[in-house]
Amino acid sequence: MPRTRRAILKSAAALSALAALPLPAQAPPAASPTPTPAPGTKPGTLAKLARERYGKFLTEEELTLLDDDMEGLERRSARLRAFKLSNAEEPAVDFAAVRR
Amino acid sequence: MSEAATGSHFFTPLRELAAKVRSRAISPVALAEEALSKLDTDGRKLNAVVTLAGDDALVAARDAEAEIRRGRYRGPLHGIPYGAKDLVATKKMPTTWGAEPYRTQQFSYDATVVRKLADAGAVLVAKLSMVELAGGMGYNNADASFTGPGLNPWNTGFWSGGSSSGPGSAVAAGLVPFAIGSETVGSIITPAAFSGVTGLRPTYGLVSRHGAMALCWTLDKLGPLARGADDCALVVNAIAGRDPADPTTVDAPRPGRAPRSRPRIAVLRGATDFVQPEVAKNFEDSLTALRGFAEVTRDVALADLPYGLCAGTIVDAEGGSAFLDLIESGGTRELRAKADRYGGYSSVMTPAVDYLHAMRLREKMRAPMAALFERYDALAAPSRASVAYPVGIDFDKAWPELAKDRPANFVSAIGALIQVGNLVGWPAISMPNGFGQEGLPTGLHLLAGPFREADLTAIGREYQRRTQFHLRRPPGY
Repeated sequence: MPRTRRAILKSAAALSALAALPLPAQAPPAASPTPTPAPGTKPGTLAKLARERYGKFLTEEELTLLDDDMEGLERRSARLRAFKLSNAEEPAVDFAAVRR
Repeated sequence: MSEAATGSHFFTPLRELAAKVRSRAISPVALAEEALSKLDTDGRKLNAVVTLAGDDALVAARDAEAEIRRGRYRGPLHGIPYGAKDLVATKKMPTTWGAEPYRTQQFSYDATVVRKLADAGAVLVAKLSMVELAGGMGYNNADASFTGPGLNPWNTGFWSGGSSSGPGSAVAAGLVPFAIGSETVGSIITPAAFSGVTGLRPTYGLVSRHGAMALCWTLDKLGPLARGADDCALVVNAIAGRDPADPTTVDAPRPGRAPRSRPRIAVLRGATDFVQPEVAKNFEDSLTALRGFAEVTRDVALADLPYGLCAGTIVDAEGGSAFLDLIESGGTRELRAKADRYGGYSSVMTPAVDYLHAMRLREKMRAPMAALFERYDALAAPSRASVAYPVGIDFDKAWPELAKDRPANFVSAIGALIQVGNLVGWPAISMPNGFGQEGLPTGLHLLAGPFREADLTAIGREYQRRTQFHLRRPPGY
């Protein structure tokens, strides 16, 4: 299971600690059809990549916590992608060819 | 207690203080000296201060005093001291972003918000403390700034809230009449609630972010923390407006309709589920007060969309990009909070597709919110589920009784209101609405439609006229 609040929040997708919410503020959608990685298993692909890239900056304890975070990220990713969107649904960005 | 009894001018509503400045019953120099003195003593004890403006503040105050004497009165902020969260650039003081790696950072210009307040005649007396990098690396403890944990004037064993920690505690303790804070997802609402002051988060784009530390370009907002809603309105009036240096800014559009004489307020479904009992009681009391002048409708639900998923993904992706150099150079090792030293490494791994998916879902949130606000003027919930967290204990271990019996799939309406309000970029206010455990304040959170700050402050003025919680003072201040 995730060991840190940050990982819990990431996987429950509550919110980063900007607002320091102690409670999961956004649980996974009830109807989420997408399976999520099992918690507590060995580091996933993204976690391995994170270790490879950034491990030199981190202690063993921090690496373990990063694994947790990455697990949370992968779970969040799966849950986010479970919300289906049609091809025509555009993102909330406001690019313009000429700056107004 | 009267100001004469305590020697403090900064618990006085801004309009009253301004009238005294205008009539020359109070000197701006005396106000600046009072603020500097209080910040240097009480402010430092509360870990609220990063840098005092010192002589520069006194020069600005003398200029204000001379102008007013000559009959050139700029308006209600003229000669009024204020503090700014240490993420807005100032050319005469360092701008540290609350973080050790930026402790000596110096800008050659003032942020637009600082310039606008100077134009209004306000006197910057201090850069105030904040959670390092506005919390973007995922802190889990109040001790997340090189200035130490922001202490709550109501009970110094507890946190003042974040990430605008210094603005919250400095206003609460009457060290300044108002302060500028910032919010990406909750960083004005939270310290306002925890510290027992009023915080107004403006509509995204109403206040220029030029010169403010970027955490999330599509979510960051600057806004005031002050004693009351009327004070916040005066400050927002001074700092709002289009700025060529921030292309996201606009001049506030003319309101499509006048505020209703009897506003319609919707209470979010589940607003008091799994909150501290005092939070629930104070919220019910708030609704009773609101019913005195507003139509209150209970059990109104938000559209079933993943607000938390989207907010978290966007903060991680934009924040990871904003601080990529720091993260990839290993500079986060210098950060204070344990979680901040490794959190950036997962943020920068956020898949681009996830970010875009979150931004597409964000777009999808607009229509149901607009439909909701066809019927209502504001959405209400408690600002936070609990009073402030204890200092020295990780947030996830604070108030463990709240987690008891809470289902794993629980969705917090309180969290959702903060998230959706920030995702759609609409304005919100947090006002003190009573006290809870350990003598700590609780807050009432109201969200309004885009550019409807006037609705919020009108409701806020009337609510505060009836309740007076905003005039309560922490013991000893």
